Amino acid sequence: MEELVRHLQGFMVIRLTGYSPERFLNLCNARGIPIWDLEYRDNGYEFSMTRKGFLKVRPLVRKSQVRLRIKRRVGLPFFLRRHKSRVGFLTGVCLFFGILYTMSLFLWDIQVEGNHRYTYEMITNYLKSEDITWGMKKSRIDCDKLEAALRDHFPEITWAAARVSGTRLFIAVRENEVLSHIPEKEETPCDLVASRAGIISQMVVRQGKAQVKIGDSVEAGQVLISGAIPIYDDGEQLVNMHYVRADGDVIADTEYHFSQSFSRLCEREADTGRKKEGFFLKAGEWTAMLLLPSREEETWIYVTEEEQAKLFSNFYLPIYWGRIRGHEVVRYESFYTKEEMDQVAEGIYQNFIKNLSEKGVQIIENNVKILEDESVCRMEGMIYAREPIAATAPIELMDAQDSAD
Amino acid sequence: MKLPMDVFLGELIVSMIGRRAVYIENYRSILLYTDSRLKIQGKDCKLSLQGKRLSIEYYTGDNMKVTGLIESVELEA
Repeated sequence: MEELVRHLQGFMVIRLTGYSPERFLNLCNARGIPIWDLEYRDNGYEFSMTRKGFLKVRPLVRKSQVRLRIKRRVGLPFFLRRHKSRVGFLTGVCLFFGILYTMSLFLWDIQVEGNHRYTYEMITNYLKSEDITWGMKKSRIDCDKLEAALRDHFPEITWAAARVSGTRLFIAVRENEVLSHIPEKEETPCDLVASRAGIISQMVVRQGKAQVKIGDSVEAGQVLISGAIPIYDDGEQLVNMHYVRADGDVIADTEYHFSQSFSRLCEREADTGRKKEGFFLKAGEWTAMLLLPSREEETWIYVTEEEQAKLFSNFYLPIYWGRIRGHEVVRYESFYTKEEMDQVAEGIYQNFIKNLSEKGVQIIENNVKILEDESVCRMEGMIYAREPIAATAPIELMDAQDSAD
Repeated sequence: MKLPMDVFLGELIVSMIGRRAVYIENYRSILLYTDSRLKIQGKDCKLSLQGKRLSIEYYTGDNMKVTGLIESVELEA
């Protein structure tokens, strides 16, 4: 701190030689003229002294018969005097700090953390609709209001915190990890029908009347568990129908015919070895790029690394710059090799299996074969699976009288 | 009254930080100063420091800080 004050007030580094330097130093001390960084050097003394102090030492110099020589002037007053003629430079410095200060009044970056369900774009688009966006004045942001608005607009956000640091807006959110509502239990009467053809392997009826049994072969759409329960009187005459929501698990062995094909030709890229590098600078809407142009017939793949200019850790500026790296490639078509073809086929098959597994289908056996011809590779075969096939279907309500008839 | 002796008698106080620095309080004046020797006048004695690259970081009315490589500290009547 003391050092800063000295630089602001200005001080001088002085060389002292002559008959009685110690006396001069003692006289300065007695008069309360501060001296620091006193060193003995080349048969003389060097020390620092304030401007004010220097103006007072003339009689002391005479008294102690020493000579003083100013070696260096340090500090703001001397700097300003030295650069008095450089008005343009000083204006530039002032302008720089002015622009810097003006820039610091605006928001130049928005950071969101803790979001999983809502993407960064969804949140920033909402902020934009609330007039909170890049380039706005920081003073217009009301963090408390923003937090409440975020919680209201995004029902799954249970906690939100917003703060402005430097030129950045930090938003931290926590999303609800449990179901926000409990699904209502359906009570409408219905049947359970087969969603696929198959042979029943397991069956549990919780509500309703079973229409099939284990080992039966069923067709798609066939009623498995009926929601209509007939009520008979003592004479075994149907007197009424009681409708319930059929409920149960029906597992069946099913078959899938798997047939897919893909071209044996694939597009490949070969690196020609030619590379180029460039730079770009982006300020708001304005972009400047420094990159050698390429011919129309050439194919280049570019990778861009972008960085946002910042002065300090949280003082971001609306200036982006980065490096562009490009490498030339030649595209051509060629046949897959045997290994590649197996790999592609395996990928397609695994994708199909994955889709089935997501639906709860368990694969028991498969006999998928890869058949090749000149240009196409075909995968054909049967997949034997075990899966729940019961699906709800609306029940046709009948009058008791109609039923009796 | 139990006043500290240095305040009461105005005697020299010398504090050292290893061989790197010496704080001197209650001195009267500098008698001699070169980069290898510093002689200080106290109330009733003289303090002589021997060393290398001796430099006075600051000195005010009654205290000073001397830095450098201190080799010896002597008191003379």
